[in-house]
Amino acid sequence: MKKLISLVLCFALCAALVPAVAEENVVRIAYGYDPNTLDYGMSNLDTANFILTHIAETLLVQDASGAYVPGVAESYEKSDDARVWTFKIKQGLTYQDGETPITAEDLYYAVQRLLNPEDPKDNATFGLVNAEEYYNGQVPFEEVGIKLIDDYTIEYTFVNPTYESNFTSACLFAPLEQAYVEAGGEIYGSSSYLPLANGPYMVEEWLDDASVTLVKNPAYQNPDIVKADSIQITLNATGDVIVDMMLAGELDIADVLNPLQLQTLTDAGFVLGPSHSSTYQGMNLRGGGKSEESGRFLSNANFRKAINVALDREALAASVMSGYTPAYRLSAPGEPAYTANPDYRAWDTTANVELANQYLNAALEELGATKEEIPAIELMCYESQGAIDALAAVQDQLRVNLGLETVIAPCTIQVMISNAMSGNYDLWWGGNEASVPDACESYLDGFRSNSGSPLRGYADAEFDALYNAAVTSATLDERLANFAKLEEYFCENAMSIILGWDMHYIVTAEGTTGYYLMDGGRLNVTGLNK
Amino acid sequence: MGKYVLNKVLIAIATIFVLATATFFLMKLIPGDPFASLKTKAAVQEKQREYYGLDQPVTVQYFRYMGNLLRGDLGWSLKKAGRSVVDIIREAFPVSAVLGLTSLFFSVLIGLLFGILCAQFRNRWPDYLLMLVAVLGIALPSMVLGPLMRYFFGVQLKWLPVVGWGTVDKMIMPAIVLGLGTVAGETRAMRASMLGVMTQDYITTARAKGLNSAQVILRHEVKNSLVPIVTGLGPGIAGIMMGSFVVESMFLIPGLGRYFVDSITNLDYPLIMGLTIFYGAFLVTMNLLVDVVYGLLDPRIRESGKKGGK
Repeated sequence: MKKLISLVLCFALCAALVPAVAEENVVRIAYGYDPNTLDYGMSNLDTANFILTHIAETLLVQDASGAYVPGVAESYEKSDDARVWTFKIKQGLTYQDGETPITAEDLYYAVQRLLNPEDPKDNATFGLVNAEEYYNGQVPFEEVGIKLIDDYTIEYTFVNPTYESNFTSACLFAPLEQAYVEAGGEIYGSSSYLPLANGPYMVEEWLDDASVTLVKNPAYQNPDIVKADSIQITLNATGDVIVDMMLAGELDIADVLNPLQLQTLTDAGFVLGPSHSSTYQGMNLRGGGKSEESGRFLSNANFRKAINVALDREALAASVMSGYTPAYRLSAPGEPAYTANPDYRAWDTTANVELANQYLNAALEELGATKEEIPAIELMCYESQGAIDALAAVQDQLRVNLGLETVIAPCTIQVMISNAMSGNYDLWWGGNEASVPDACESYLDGFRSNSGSPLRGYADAEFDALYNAAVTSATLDERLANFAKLEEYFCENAMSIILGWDMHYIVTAEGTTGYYLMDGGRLNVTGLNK
Repeated sequence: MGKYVLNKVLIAIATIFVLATATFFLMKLIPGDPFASLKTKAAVQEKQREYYGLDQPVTVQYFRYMGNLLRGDLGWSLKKAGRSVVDIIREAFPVSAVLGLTSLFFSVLIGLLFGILCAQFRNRWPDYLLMLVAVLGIALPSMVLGPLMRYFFGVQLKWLPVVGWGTVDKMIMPAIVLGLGTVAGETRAMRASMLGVMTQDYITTARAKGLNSAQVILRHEVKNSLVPIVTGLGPGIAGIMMGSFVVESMFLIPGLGRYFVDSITNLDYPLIMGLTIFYGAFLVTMNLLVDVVYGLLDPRIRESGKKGGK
């Protein structure tokens, strides 16, 4: 009897304890790669971007409405030409330990470290005045466009006008505590020595190539907006694994690329959220060609236009470019540059064989050449079956629609990039990342005559002038208006062959709210409710 | 025996030296640049090459690497910032090893059992049935079996977690997928080996001595059939413990398998070298162990070893 009573009491105790343990609100998500590093100066993968969005608060942050609001900054002023920005930093902010204060010196150090040529960082960028000169050893750091006014005031001077969206970049505008970073030395930012967070979350655990767990940062300045207790990130998950995990109830939110996988999830009752485009995928065209022989033709605008309109993008997307939306211009839906000029259509998404042949004939007439003189154009790609299949379809379309012969040249990824960087290609199958507010600095920069790189092989004064007008625009509206002209010039001269936009779709279980996409498609789940 | 082992160890060290040297120069022949990137400024890439000493002549890089190697320093990964090659191997290898050994233990056990049964029921229905299973094990590639198992046992039945690592239930599906090929191989090898042993004179003698079937099978047939099986186990253990790119990718297991592929794709020179040397050293060690075990199992080899030693 005593045993029975003891047993009943034990059960009663357990039952009483169960409701006392609050159910933790965990957001579970999966990404395709390990972040590799969380060093703000080195990280550039999607996984790292997602984590940094949640652990690194920058000078300005983008809220759910899309507005740029103060983050680490309290207020700011900018010069009339939008090149000089002065930020007042909030006082009383600390890192995750709740003790180490955040000051303007931490922002100064972040830039100093990023631009240190003795310890080269992948994300080093030369937007600040004299940054490139300092990197090349021509001027001391004191001449770089960054000035520490006092403990809570910092001033940045840029080469070109800059906009609010730029100040959400963690590599340049998130604070770094010098003593902590230097104590980490070589291993700073790895799983062995995690960064000090100042954002809504901090990294609790990072198991390399397995998972990252973020938990609420107890010292975060604005705890009310942080809903989930923790974020569990599964690493190295391929698309089919993500689908299986969603179906098994092991994930709450997913970033899905493949339309078939998307269909599987929506058929199973999951809800399609916002989408964004991350890449302009197509055939990068080198204006000067790989050789003098091919360059003779590829430098001719009509020849390039012939290739551009001879391709049936809808057929490609329906067969060998799964996951891509057929492109009809450069800027992709979701980019500010697209939204500012939404009606622009540069070409049809189906092939226009008659027009393509008109362009080809015009090119041959301008060059005084015959069709037989056109060399076999090389189509370079990464040696994956998907890329080879895509180029085989392109090859077929160019042969049938234009009578052009091409050669597919698959190579390893590093060889492909090396060839691209040295301008050793005619047409190269690859993607270029979409950017904010437009493609100027991230993609079109290389098309300038004085880009200093053989990558694109163009020397086009009109393009240069339009580019300069865009990047020196004093306001964002002016910039987008000028970019529209640049984009039209780029597309109408077929300076590269944009075939599709790489679309990402956010999928969640029904009833999930509170998440949003920031500029550049960065997912923010700080306020996510399940 | 001591001299025999010492001789083997010296050969092993020479093998690893040749392996490291050959890998270093072959690796440098792979075209491409590990720092080539469209995202990173050209000036930064140049500084990175200087920072890692890749702007130096290959022979200078080689002697520097070998000097570091002698001190046990395998260098830092070029792609996983802040992680040394030793750290990567130290963390990932135990995962692959646990998965591999678990898989191997059960698959060898099952394979041997199947092989014994096949041999005992030669050309009868149990032989055909078990050989069919064995052939299916080889014929079904892991990239087909893995997703199928994930879907049925993880998504539909919810008996097991779809992917992951760290608990016993997460290990079941990858261990089965990884081991099925081994089951098939061991079944076939054990069957063939036993059929060979069963026709030997000493088996007839054992039966003539009046031993019953179980005693003949266990004491003579199985024991003597194991010699070729054990020979194959050395490289087999080394291979399976080093991880599988496909199975680890399919079940999100943080093992070593993925690094073998990624290091070459990324031209992560220190990681390529570190993995090759580690794998080579491990393989050589396993072969050495097999030689010793082989001698213990077969008295004739033990005796010839002694004679050779004299």
